[in-house]
Amino acid sequence: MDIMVVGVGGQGTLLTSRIIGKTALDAGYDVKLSEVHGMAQRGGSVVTFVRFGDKVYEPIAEEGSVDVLISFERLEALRYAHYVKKDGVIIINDCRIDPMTVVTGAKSYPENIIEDLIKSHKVYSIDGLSVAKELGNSKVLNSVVLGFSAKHIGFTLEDWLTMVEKTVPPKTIEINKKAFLAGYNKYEVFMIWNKEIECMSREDVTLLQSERLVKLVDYVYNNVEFYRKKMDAVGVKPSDIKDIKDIVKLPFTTKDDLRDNYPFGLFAVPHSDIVRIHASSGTTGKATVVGYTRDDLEIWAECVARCFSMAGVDKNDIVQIAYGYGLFTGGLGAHGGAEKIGAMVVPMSTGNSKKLTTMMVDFGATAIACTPSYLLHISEVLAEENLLDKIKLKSAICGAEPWTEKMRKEIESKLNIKAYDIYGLSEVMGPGVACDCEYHQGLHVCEDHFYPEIVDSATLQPVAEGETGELVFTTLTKQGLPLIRYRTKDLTSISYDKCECGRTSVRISRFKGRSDDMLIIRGVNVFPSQVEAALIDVEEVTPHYMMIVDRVNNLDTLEIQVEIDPKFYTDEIKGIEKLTKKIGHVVQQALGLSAKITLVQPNTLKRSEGKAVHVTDKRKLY
Amino acid sequence: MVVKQLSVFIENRQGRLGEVLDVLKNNNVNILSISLADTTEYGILRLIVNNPELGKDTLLKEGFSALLSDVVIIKITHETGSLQKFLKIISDADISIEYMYGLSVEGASASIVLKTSDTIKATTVLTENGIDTLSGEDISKL
Repeated sequence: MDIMVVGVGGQGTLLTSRIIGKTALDAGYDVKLSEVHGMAQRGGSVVTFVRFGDKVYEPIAEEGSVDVLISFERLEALRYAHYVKKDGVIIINDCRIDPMTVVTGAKSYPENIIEDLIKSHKVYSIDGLSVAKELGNSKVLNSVVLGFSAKHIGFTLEDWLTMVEKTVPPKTIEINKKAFLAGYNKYEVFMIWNKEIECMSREDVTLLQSERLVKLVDYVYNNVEFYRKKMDAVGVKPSDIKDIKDIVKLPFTTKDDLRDNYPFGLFAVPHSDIVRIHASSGTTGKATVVGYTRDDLEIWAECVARCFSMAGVDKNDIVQIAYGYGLFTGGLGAHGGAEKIGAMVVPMSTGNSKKLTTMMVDFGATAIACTPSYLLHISEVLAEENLLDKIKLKSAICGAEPWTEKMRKEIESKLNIKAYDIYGLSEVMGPGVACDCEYHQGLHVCEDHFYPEIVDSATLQPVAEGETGELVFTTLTKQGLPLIRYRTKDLTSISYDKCECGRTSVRISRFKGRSDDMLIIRGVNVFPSQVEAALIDVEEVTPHYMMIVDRVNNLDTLEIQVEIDPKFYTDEIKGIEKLTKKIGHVVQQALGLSAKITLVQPNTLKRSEGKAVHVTDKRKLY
Repeated sequence: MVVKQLSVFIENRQGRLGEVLDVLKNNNVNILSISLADTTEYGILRLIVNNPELGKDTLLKEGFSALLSDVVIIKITHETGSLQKFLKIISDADISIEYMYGLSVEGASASIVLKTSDTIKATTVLTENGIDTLSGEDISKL
């Protein structure tokens, strides 16, 4: 590995190179360190190389071969950027020190250096001096920058801290360690979990998908009666599917199909091979049941691990999983991925904010996975308890409900963390089908396992890249419950462009709505028809109802207005309260979600001709 | 005597009470006493009117939830301790009071509207103890 450290004399570049060199040496590498030119006197340009590997012959790296360029000053980064290789990294301490030529007026200091470098390189910048000053000592700038660079170089955090301790003057050990950690935790760009797959060329992805689709179609045709009948009905045989493009010949699958084959009708393996069941609510109260084989669970963990990596989570992290554990896929799904990464996983589940915030502080949790609205609620609990400056949280992986970019920014500023959007649906797998990276330019789909299509929800014909339509998934590798062209009803668009993060995987945009009337309230899928079915059993009310969904103090609220039937009107408050409680109970049973019941006068809820409007959603989620 | 009380369910929304009163006014139903029991979500308007049947029918026709219930109206003297005296009679007879409100004050006597757990029994006990109760006819003449 070749590292180049550049800066202006007096910034501590030499000490930085020395620490890197010694850490590599202690890790058993052959190391060559050299100061190339410039003097370490104040104001001059300083360049050092640190090269390490099994055996290093030359002390100086050639142009276009450096893996990591650490520059303590903007212009110095520009001056030496040509040393960096194509997929190398440039780390810039964002400050400006005018060289003599600028001071004397012979030349002007270039504008937009970082913006220009980003076009050709992977650039990460940090305002190291501000961080150092916050710590009360501007001299620890070099430790801040080194900490910020550490993950690009490798080695463990313990290795680095040990070396900082051994190298800096004894009196400054504590402050330098603090500075290193401050930089280390500012680190914003993360490891790609499965580079081979996530950065695969489009041709290779297509080949892989084609190969897997052919196998899948053969598999479902021979193992699931439902698919065999459906394919026979449209006259498609497994042999007609030769590559991924042929997918359009296959019939679609819907949530109704899952419901009609409740509970296990679409499973492709005997029950003895299923090791876990999850379920989500269906449109009429019957659950949608999904089953996983051991391999399915392994792939699920792999996909979630990719997503958590996008959010910067690694084995050094302490992750609180605050999705519900149980039939809902959120808790156990996120759990498996975080464990696979090797993080310290805290299975909080939901429902006890106080315990969550206490443990967040006491354990020093660095990441959390939960719904975005719950996280906003947590931020308020933290603020109330004056704990905001005691948390070590740096990233949040939020999903299970739609949220806006504005909400993401709000979470980030309230908690001073980075928040990422994770997507999934239980039918397809659960959380981890897609996730956004640090550039937040859409969600990267694990397309080696889940093949996405965007279709017009009316005509079911594919729409062009970039156009909005309904998202359809085919599970390319799933064994337990394979799905062919499953209609998610989620509206989004798709982009095949390479992302700035380096991943080539296809991205779906933030969701733009749904093509059906499903609501997601506090992470629970709710269909108005469920409410309707539940109210039929309550004779004291008319069949008219209105659901009002809102977000108050960052938690979803559901109010259901029902008309009291004049025949059952009572003039005693306790009678009306009893009725309200009864309806509340019936609704809770049907939705798995508590709702506030409001009785209204007969004939006051809006009647509409044609399709009745039963929902007012005030949340503005899309 | 048992008297019919008119009750109406109203949502806690601006103008709702006015709408009920409008309906009654337009049908010449005169209100003699009014009580409004409120919760955060809704209120129950209880009325003693000169023509309860007409009041109920017109309100139902206008889409309100309205019903008639039985209450007792007693006349008591306007002096300290008279209310306490008659309440004792009621409780000694094991009758509980659901709610009560005042009707009107005429000179030295006052009227109280009473909703009890057992209207018939309450009327009997009160009459036995020499306490006057008003009849529907009395009310319509007021």
